[in-house]
Amino acid sequence: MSSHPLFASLLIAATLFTPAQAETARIQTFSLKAPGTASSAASGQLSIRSISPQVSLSVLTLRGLTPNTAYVAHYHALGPASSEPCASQGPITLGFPSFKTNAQGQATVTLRANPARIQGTLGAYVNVHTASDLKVVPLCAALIGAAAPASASRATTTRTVSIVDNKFQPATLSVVAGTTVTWVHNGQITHNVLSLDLADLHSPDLRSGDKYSYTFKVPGTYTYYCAYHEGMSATITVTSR
Amino acid sequence: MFVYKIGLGIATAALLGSCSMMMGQSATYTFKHNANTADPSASGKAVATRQGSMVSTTLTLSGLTPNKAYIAHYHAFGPESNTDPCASNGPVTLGFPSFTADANGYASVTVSGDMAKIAGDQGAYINVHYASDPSIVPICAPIKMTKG
Repeated sequence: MSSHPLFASLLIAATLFTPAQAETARIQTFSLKAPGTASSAASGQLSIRSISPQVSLSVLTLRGLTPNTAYVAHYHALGPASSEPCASQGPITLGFPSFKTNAQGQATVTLRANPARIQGTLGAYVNVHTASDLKVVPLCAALIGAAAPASASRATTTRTVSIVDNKFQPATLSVVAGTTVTWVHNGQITHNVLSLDLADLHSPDLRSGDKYSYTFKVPGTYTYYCAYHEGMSATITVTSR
Repeated sequence: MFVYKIGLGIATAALLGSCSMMMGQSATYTFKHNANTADPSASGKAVATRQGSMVSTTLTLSGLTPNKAYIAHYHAFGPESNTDPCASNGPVTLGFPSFTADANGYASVTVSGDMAKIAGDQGAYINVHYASDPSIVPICAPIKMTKG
């Protein structure tokens, strides 16, 4: 390669910041709703824009909150208390800057983050709390599971399991019914995916780079394994929508 | 403990294939050489012993290439024959740990797996392959002689 390093850097920078690139950035939108018995006057929207593989912008646009009041908002991981993200009581994984509503009870707050920190179940839901009492949660947006993006009528949920030598990662996975799980072979030697619990979950021999998908329709706990390597097994729990 | 020593294993095939092997009973299957030139003196046996819902199977092999790495698997009855499991080209249903022949060409390897993985047509035969080239299969032990 004979390109000068400086020229290559400028070319990359120019490519990253062209308007065309901004237009094609992926945007997901989710509705914030009042969880449980909290006030139903509040509402809002979370939009997540993917700027690059390393950067995403999360923007909360809120209304109907108490005027001139300080709030905080966080991404939460899926917790153990429920399969419904907003009721699962998961730990905070990333915080928005603290913010204050205006005289009309409206607020906008932006978080710039590495998407890896809120990927999958690490970013299961976003809670908006009052800063004075974090237990007061007027709004929540579920990002995985039962909640569909506000802009889509119904999202198709997909999850990925990595096959390596000789284990499945993750070894346990919880999905909602209707989820399509795709196994991706990231190892070197031949493996397959079979289950005694589901006769039709039966992949052909998989080699490095191969993929196999299966849609789980019925709630239950299913163990699957690699026939080549006794002891190489894992579990998927399918919950109701 | 009953030990059934049967040459080509029609009766023992019925035992394992029909899940009628009682707890603690063993079934023995004899390896035959395939029509190839790999390890011409290779031979051996497989002894399968049921313990509850699990089956422990031990391969005792000789005549292998000294110090060579091998792999072995149970296979399901495949699509290419209804009466010769070793020629049926079925998918792997249970794998043995990989192993290496000793300096005299002997090897022994054991796997314990769920009986359901190799019940009926799912456990029709056991192949011993070269680890370096699984398409080379010196010996095969037929277990279930008829498909279905």
